[in-house]
Amino acid sequence: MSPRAPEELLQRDVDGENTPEEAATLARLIRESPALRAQHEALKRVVAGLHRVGLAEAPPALAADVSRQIRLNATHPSAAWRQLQAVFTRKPALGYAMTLAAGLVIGGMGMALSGPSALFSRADAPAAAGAILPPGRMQTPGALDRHRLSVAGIEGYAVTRMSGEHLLAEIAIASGAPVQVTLEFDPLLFAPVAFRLDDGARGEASLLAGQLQFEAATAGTYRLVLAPAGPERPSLRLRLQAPGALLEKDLETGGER
Amino acid sequence: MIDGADEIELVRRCVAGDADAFEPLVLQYQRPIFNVALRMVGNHEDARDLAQNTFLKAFEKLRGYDPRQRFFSWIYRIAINECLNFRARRRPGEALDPMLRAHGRDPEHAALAGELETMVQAALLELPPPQRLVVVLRHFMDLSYGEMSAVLLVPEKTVKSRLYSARERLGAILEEPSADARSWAR
Repeated sequence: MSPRAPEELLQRDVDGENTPEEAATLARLIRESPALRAQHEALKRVVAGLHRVGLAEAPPALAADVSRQIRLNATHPSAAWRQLQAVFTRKPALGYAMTLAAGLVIGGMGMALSGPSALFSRADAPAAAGAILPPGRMQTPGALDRHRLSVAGIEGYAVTRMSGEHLLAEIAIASGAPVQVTLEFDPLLFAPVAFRLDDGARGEASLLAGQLQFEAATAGTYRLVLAPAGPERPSLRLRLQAPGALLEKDLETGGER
Repeated sequence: MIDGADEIELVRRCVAGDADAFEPLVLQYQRPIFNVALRMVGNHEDARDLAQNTFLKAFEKLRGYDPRQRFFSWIYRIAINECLNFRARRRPGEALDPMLRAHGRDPEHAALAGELETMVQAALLELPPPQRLVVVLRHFMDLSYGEMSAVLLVPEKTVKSRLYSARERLGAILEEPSADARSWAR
């Protein structure tokens, strides 16, 4: 067997792989060479430092989110949808921008109707077609509140966050049956700006004074954009109803109450 | 803990249409995959997205998985490709958490704040991706040279050489700011 180079002996030493003979050879080489000794010490410090850094825990909902996404993909088998989703996964800013743009278009149409109530129909919302944002994006720093929605066959998330001066309430739902969703807010303290429902939504979304209602289909993500009138921002009330299921959550908005 | 035979059986069930069979595989590998991504990109949020994308891509590609190779080698390679593609799309420095940018090279601050991890992570991100990968696989995933060779599809000799260079460079980076930097490893 040919003798190993000093560098290889150093590496094998920190990896604990030197034979007793190799260890003795390295010890001799180190005694004879201060430069090699310094190299050895530096290598040991690096390895010791790396060993002291532990493994991070996986995010708690990662496995559940992967399973959920697989189910969503199964309900949206079109290649175009997957491609669009992949783009938004890679470029979330683009997803947000398109979502907001679509929302503003729909919101502008709704506001133009004026009066105490406005009705958004699916026919009025051509720009709302888009991708479902990945659930992981809902855990980004900056969220004011986040709830897992889980009741009798309904799984999903609700999250609130500020975007500039606007409050965004995002709701993602996967369910075996349509779910009636109601989001209540104080109409004196929040002005609705936009609402986006994606391809998963059916029928109509109605926006009454202080109350948004829509029917969520088996999988979808929905976003309501509100403009707070001032620092006083009470929580929003979210209600999910399906046959045999009722779930209510208060979504904090991060303001004075 | 799932063994190799169980993994192959779970893959077989997934390919046969039982999507629920994938979840045990995710649970088995979510921590190492997340850690590979975290050490490669230095950012929890991006690492989470990368880990999720890794599993989704793995699920889509399960039909192409060859049961003669070890499942972990196969899924690690998907994760590594995701990380490398992600790095290629990012502008330099963009992946760093603000905290890393601010304190990653300041040993005194890091020592005071007990942020050895921050320092090591910042130093790791200064390594070229091929060197960073071997450090991550060896020191965080605890892979042998043979396993690293299988994951990276390069000879063991190349793995050893890369790791030696990486460790050497890592030492230089960590000791560069001042003599006090040595305190990080004590």
